[in-house]
Amino acid sequence: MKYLSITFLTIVFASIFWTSCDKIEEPYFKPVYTERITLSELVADASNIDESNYNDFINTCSAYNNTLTMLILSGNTDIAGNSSEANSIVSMLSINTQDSLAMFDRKTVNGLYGVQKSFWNDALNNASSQQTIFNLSIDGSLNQSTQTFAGEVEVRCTNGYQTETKLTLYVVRDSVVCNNIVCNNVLTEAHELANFSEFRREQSETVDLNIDLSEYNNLDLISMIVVLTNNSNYEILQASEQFVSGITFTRTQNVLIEDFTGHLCGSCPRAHEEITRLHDLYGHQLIPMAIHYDPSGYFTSVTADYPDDFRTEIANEIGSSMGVQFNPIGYVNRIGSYSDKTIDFPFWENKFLELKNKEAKAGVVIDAIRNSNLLSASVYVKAFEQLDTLVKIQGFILEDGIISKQTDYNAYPTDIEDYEHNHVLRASINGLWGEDLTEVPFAQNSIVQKEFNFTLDQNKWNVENLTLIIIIYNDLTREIIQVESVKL
Amino acid sequence: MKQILTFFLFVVVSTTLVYAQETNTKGILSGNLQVDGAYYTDSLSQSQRPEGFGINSYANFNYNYGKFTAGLRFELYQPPLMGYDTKYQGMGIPYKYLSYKADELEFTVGNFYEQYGSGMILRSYEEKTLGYDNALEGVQLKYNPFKGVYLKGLFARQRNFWDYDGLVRGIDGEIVINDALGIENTELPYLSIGGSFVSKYQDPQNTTLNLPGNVAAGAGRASVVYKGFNLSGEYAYKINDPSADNNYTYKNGQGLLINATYSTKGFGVYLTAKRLDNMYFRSNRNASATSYLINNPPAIAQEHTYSLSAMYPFATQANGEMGLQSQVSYKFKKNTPLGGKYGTKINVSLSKVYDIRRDSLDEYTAIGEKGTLGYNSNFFALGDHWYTDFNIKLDKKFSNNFKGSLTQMYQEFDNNIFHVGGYHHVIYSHITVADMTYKINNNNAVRLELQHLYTKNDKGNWAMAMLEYTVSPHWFFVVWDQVNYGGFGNTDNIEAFDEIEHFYNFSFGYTKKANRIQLSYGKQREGVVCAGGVCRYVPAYEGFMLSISSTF
Repeated sequence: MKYLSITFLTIVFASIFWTSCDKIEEPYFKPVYTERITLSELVADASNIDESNYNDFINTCSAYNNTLTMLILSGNTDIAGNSSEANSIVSMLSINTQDSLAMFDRKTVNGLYGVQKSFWNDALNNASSQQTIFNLSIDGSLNQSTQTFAGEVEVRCTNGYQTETKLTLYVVRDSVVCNNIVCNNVLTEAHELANFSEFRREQSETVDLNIDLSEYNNLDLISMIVVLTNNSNYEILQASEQFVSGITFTRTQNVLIEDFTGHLCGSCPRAHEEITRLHDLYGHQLIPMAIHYDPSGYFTSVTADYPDDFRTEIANEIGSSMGVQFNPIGYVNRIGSYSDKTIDFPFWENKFLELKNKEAKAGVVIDAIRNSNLLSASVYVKAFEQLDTLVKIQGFILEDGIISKQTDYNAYPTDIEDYEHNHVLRASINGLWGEDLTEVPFAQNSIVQKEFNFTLDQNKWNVENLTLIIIIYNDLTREIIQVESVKL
Repeated sequence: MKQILTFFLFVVVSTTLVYAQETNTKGILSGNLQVDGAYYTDSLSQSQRPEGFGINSYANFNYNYGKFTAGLRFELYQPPLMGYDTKYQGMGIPYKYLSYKADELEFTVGNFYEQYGSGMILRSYEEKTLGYDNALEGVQLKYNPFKGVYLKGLFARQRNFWDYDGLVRGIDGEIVINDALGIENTELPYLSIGGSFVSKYQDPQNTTLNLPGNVAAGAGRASVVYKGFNLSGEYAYKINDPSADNNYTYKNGQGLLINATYSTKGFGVYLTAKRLDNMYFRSNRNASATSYLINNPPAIAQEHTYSLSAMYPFATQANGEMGLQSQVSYKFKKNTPLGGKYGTKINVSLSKVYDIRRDSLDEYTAIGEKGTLGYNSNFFALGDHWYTDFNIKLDKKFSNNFKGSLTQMYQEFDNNIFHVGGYHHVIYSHITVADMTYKINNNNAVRLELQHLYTKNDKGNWAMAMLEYTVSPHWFFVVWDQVNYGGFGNTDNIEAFDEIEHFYNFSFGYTKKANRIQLSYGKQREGVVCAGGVCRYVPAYEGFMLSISSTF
């Protein structure tokens, strides 16, 4: 009996000990997740695509930040280019093109790849909230002479992944007219880039790209979507997009110097000279803006001798809100306290030098086209690091080379008849304080695209001499995060 | 100085208190006191001990009254002697316990030391010469329900210098089969079996790795004694324990130890084989050196006491080692050609230690890569050779007054593994030691020790002579000189000294009853002190040393 009880006790103790221990199964490393880009795909018959379906699809997707869209138009159509790729996807995933079905990262819902319209939002919400262990980046550029898009795609796995994967590149085209509607991001070509049997932790693979685009006549309409798919269930693990025209974001911190001036301000040409000197010295990284604003109203007043009116509502707003008491004075990237950002012009250079070598938190690329007096601009903003406060975006129209009168105490007589006024702020393209760029937070490495359309005042401005400036700024501090300018 | 006064005050007060208690009851007080002080005269020591001196001191007090025992140890390092970790700086009572034995059950609260089996999964002990102490603090139960059955359990934290940290839980059972079954026939084999489990817990929170919070190790052991034969073995197993020791790999650890001995009058054979793989077991996965060690696998190499034979000492490599130690001793009988008038003892010993063989898991993974299973290891395959020690020792008594011993030893020592000094190659050495004692009369004896170490590596050759004169029962005088004369381009170590260096020591001591006082002056070479496979580096120093010890 006593031996039985000892044996029993031993077994009990041993099992308590053994079960209380933590046996760790692979993977031993905790997965490191990276941000997911979702690919949302609308599948339709090219000859039968429904406009309301298309619009609903675009609206559903536009509510999400990190989603790319692609239109899979199947059927025999010349309009959509080579649609055999679309047909093969449709048949592979057995999708009925007559229904309004979409796919979000090609995840199945109730065993089917095509998702009914009523579930689009839920399915996209589900897909875009999934984590991923893959980083995908396209680094390519267009070779103008050969009309090939060459570069490389890098796949990096932050954790081990044992399933076989496939890397595919889709060429998509904008402005495809199909069944009388204009469709964007229409799949025209697919290129299988590579197959990977497995990924080990921190393994990265680089695949060369060399895509012949010579058959397309407008390459601005072409973009590349690269997806990494799970080979067994076709699910998309990560997606990435690059426009052929090639958006490259740089981390160079550009600096906006806002010079508050007035045509009757006799000391102001000193500030103009300084800003010209700085602009010549530092080039594009320094972006000047002349704001005709005097809190007393005197220096900017319109008189019989000074008939040109440089005053604007936007100049008034910028000047009065951030501490301008006299002229000349300026803001340098609006650094400073919330209500006073003024810096005397002799100190602009110091401030600029202080800022210029910092790594910008965001990059801005402007793709603007002026068609006579119509401005249409696509602005892409990429966050290099996560921005946790509300970020706003605002666009300004500046005019160079305005020949008009200016008071200059250094001149004799003090009135200069044919003074050249440069970088004169003429208008804001989206209100007095711009608009919200994106939701808070603005996730690291995410890219936001904003479209602006603006009618330029041909009667008042010389549209040949205009510049578009885009600023993005922190709404909490009003400090400028990044600024970019482009001549129109 | 104030602190030293405090210390002495403490000693006096506590002795008086305990003494007072002793007079009123029939309890037994026992204990000891050790004070080691040094006054350093060289500049290196003075830079490391700006006070100019070091003192290590401790006093143990144990009080036993019937079934009750209590004890404490006061320790003082103000500052610690050269070569001891300066984290010991300070004084206090880090060790104190209360223990009660209620028939079959004995329990201890407070601090205690414990060892399960051979110590492969749990061994808590202290070794003052190493400055090593991983005492446990918690509760321990020992239960002896029947004759021959011993059960033990503990739940404790571990000492790390002046702190107690970590969490260790363990149980151990041992059954002496002959006793348990009531077999009293001594002609039969005497069998015992045992087993133990130890687990530790540490918060597994970590940003990059999936870490285990509870890590357990288990061990089983058996021994059989039959006539002159004694065979015992222990196998230990440890589950995934990613730690700084194994570069955070998840391979299970295992250890095997087999001892076989045979002895009869005048003849003895001893054989040990050991294999360890990933068997560091600490209650803190980020610890290193000797901190937070729960286990302490026994050393496989012979431990040497002569100064030059111990110059390149073996240290246990719990991350992986396999080795063999064998020893044969034989006593030639009196009045035989080899035995002479008083007999001759010969002792031959061989130790060989290798690394275990490690193979990469697959073509992508480096051996021991973090966050993997580490490596594959064939249980029987040998890795690199690390250590060989072959020695022959002769003990001979020439007359009633004169006896001596002669040792010849050959050693191969891979200093890339053991790191004694800054030399990074294999050290091949031949060591000769002659030890002679002559008793002049009943009270006076002279001992002469001559040692020589020959090597073309590291610092080159060494010679040493030591003369000890004892006047019983009170006085002894010792003088020695160690000479390093190996350099002059004769070694492959370009950093070897190109001059003769003397490391001398003069000391004398006085002993009366249980008290002993010793004063010495000398210059100590840098070196490594080892005990049980655990080693401590001691830098070179010069100065006066005072040592007082007392037991009561």
